[in-house]
Amino acid sequence: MLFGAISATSFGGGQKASVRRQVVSTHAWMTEAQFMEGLEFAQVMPGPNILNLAVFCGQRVRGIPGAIAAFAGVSVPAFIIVLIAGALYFRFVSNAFVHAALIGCAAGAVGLTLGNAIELSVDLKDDWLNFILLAGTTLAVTRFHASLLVVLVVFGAIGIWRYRARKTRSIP
Amino acid sequence: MSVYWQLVQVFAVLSILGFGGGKGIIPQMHMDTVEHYHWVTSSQFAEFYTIGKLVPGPTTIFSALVGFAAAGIAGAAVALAAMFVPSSALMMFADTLWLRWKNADWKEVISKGLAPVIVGLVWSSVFAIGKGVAHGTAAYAIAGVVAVLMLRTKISAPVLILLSGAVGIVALR
Repeated sequence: MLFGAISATSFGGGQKASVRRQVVSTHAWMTEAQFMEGLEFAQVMPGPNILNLAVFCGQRVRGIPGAIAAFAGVSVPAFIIVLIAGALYFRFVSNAFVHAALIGCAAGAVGLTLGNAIELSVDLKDDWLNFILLAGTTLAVTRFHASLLVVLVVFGAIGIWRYRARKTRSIP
Repeated sequence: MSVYWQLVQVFAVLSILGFGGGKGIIPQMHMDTVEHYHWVTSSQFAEFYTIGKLVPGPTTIFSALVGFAAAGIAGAAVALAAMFVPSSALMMFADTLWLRWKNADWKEVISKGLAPVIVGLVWSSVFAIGKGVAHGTAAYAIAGVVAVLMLRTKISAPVLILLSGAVGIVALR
């Protein structure tokens, strides 16, 4: 249980590959197949993938205490680091240099999110209805302040229904 | 109603609805924390989000900073716990309950079916975060160039953010 936490700390980097190395190669806690299944599961469940993956691995290796240890192993170091970053933020934000740098960084973060949005949109190209759902979601949220729950239920249900229908009947 | 309870309500809901690795929750978080409760300003939200992308670990770790702005260190801890515990608990119980349906392709159906919604939410995040960034040619140019670099090169996200900061010092001061 303790070494669950120790190894989870090294998860901190957020790299799935390094988690795989730790649990599959270094410690041989689970097989490659089990790990891949966990990764799929972590991606489909709500929550950060890396945290879900750690909880999954922790649970598989040491049950509930293992899951708790893995949870703490990921979130506690991240919490401490972000608090330090936050303390620096509040300390220096009024400095003109720092503030200009921060605005630049934030513009960069918008760019990353934009790049991510473009990349993910391209992945949807095998069904035209995906783009209707995408545009509907974006419009509903940005123009009409639709809540996350509403768009997930309404557009998500259509998306899931459509995917299942296409999968079983192969609609072109 | 105490601010801690409000933080729990806001972040626990986001936690449970955080499909797609949490990428989709940013617009709702912006609505709740900026527009409804006024815990942070729009530019603070954008800057905290940026810090979340910069530090190791999940981006949504920045909910701790929103909690901090709302109610100090205790607020930070409460917000982060509300953000991370519900989804992790779900993962634990779902693991024990659902792993038996190994053969079922429900994982693929859910993730592919929800994908267009999540991507729409990522586009909405661009607008939500964009609101908090000073408008103007320089900021748009930085965002555009970073998007291209992200798509065309292998430069890592934190490096791109830090480079943007350096450009910001020169261009935005």
